[in-house]
Amino acid sequence: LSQKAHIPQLRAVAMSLLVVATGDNKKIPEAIDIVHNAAFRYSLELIGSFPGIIQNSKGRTVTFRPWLSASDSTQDFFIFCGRLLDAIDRRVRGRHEEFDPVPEEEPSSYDHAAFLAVAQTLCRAAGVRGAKFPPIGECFSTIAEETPRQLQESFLKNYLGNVMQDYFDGSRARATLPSLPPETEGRLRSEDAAELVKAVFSRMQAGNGPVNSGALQQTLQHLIAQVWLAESALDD
Amino acid sequence: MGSTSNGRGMTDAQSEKIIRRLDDPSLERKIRIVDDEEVPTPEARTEARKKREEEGVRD
Repeated sequence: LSQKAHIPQLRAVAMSLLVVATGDNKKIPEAIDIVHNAAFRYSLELIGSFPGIIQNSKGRTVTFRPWLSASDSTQDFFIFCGRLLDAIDRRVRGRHEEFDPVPEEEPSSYDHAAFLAVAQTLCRAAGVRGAKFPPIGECFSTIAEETPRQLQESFLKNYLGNVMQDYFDGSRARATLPSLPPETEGRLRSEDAAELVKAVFSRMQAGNGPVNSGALQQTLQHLIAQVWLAESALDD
Repeated sequence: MGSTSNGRGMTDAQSEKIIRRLDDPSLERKIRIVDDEEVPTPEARTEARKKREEEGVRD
């Protein structure tokens, strides 16, 4: 490693949400779907390839072959995002005509969090604000100003934030504790997920290029295992 | 495993744990997730635990 590994600091609620999300009735080796599902890996890799694909188009129409076909071409960034997510989903399910199915790959309960994170990351990077979409060429140009690493960091923060929020909502905490501050859910993303992202990427090879998805998955798995251990030490 | 309480498959016990965490101001403090590789000895673990406790007192 060429940088100092960051020690993440999480709130107890975030730790418990991660433990519940990874299945606290399972042993650690079994609770790795959150890290090793196909939707997460394909999304991470695709997000990291965006700046390069856009820059290589050199002003021509940006294509995302083989993920998207010529018939998927659109001038609407919203529709583009939808078609891209559909393409990832078809690949995960072994139904994408351009990719051979991989026998051990299948949908998981984390796919929704991954797909939402792709859209959140792309729209934020593209300058979409308040449901106002700039022209698609402008969206791509703006995305290309980000480094692959920045996009992947944003994707991972959104992914972990989405997973924690799913389980936060599932706990019905807000209905039970109506006085909870309005920023409670947002802090799961902006503070707790951000801490984990900082810890993960500080353990990756330094640089601006995309990280190796396998290395990131192993590092995230290790950190989540550490969260498990720390959470089990909390008094209940 | 308790009864399933929602579409996410959370049990009542899991939901209650999340709510307990949110309802206890003392659990608002942030807890260091110490990496085993960085705290390899029992002495270092004791030191890290002391440090966490001190941070907890300050919080």
